[in-house]
Amino acid sequence: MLQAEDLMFERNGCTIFSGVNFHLNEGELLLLQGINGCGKSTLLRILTSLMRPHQGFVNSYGENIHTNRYEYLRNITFIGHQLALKSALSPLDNLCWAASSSKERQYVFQAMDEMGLSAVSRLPCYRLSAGQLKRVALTRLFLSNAKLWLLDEPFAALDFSGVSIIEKLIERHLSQNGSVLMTSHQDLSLLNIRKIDMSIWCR
Amino acid sequence: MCSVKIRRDIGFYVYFRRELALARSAFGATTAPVLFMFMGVSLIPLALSSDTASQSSIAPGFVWIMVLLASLMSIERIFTFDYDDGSLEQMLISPQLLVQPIFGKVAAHWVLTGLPMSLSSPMMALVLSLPAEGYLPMMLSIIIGSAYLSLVGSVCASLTVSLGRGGFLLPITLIPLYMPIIIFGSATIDFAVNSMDWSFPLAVMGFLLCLAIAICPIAVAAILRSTLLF
Repeated sequence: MLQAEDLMFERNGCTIFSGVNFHLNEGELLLLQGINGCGKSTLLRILTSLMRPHQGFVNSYGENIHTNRYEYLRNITFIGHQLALKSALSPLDNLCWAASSSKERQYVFQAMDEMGLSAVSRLPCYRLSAGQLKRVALTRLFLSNAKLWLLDEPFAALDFSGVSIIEKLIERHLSQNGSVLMTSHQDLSLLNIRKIDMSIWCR
Repeated sequence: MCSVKIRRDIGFYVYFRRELALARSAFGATTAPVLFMFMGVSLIPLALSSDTASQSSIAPGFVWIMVLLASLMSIERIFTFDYDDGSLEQMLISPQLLVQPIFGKVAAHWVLTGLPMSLSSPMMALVLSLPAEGYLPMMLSIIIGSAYLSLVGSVCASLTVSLGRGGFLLPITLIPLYMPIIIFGSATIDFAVNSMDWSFPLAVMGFLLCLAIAICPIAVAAILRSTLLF
C-alpha cells in the first residue's frame, strides 16, 4: 500500500539519508530502527507529506502522496514526539477537538477508559505526567479510522501496561488489514515484524 | 471498542470554538492587549497638558496607534503555541482545506482583541476628551480596521512562526502593511470630529478588509505548507 523509492534527504547541504527503498503491505508492521540522529523522525515526517524529500518519491497505492494529498491524509494517523495537546484543557476536551466533534464524547471517554485514563480524563493536561500525556495522545489510535499508522517512538515514556495496551491495539489493527510503520528502540513482543535498520541508508 | 465513525471535516467552526475555549482558560493573556491599550491611553492626559482642545486634536491618531500596538503584541500568539506543541503539524496533516481552520483562528483572534477594543473604545475617547460625534465612527473604524489587522497579521505571523521566537522580525514586516489602516482609521475619526463626511475613509477600510479576507487565509495556508518543513 505504501512504497518509498530512492528517497534522499539533506539538511544544510549534509545528506541525512539516501537511497531509501522500502514497501509496506496491508496488515504489515514495519519497525524502523537506527541510532539517534539517523533520520527516523525525518523519514516519518516525509511519509506524512509534511516534508518533501530532495530526491525520490513516496507512493500510496501506486499514486504519489502529494498528487492526491487529501485522499492520502484521510488514510493516515500520525503521532509524533510533539503530542499536540493543549496543557490548559482536559484530555477529554483535547481528544474531542482532535476527533472534531463533541457529539461523540462518550466514545472518546470509552477509548480513554481502555487506555486506563478514566481517572484523569477531566483534569487539565498540565497536571498529568509525561507517560499519561503520551497515553492521551495515543488514545487517538482508538478513535482513528485510518489504515496507515505512522508512530514515532510510541513507547517512549510509557510503562509496561501502556506498552502492552498499544501492542494489543497494533495487533488488532494489523488483523483488520491495517498497516503500521513505527520507530522504536525497544523490541516488540509481536510476531511478524519486519525490521529495517536505517543505518544502511545513512552517510 | 468503539468502532466510531469520526467526522474528520474539521472546519471553520471547530477551530473558532477551540480558540475561544483556549482563551477562556488563559484569561489573563487574552485580556492583556485590551488592558495594554487602556494603560497607554490613560497616560496621555498625565503626560500632556490638561488642555482639552489639544488632547482632542491628537485623540484620533492616538486611539489608532494604541489599537495597532495592542493588535501587534497579540498577533504572534496566533500560531506560536500551536507550533510549539505540535497542533499546527496535526492541522497541516488533517484531510481538509487549510483555509477553513486558519480563518477560524483569525476570526477568533478578532473576536478576542478587535471586538473588545472597539466596544470599550468610548471609554478611551472619554479619557482623551474626544468630541461626542467621533464615537460612532471610531467604533466602526476599529471594528473594520482590527479585522484587517488580524488577517494581515496572521500572514506575517505564519512567516515568522518557524523561526522560533521571531522577535523583532514580526513588527518590522507588519508595520508597513498596517500603515493604510492607521491612515484611514484616524482619518475617519478626524473627519467626523471636524463635521466632514466620514463615510469615504471608512469605505476604503472596508475595501481593504474585503481584499484581506479574500487573500490572507489562502496566503497563510500556502506559507504554512511551504515553511513548516523543518
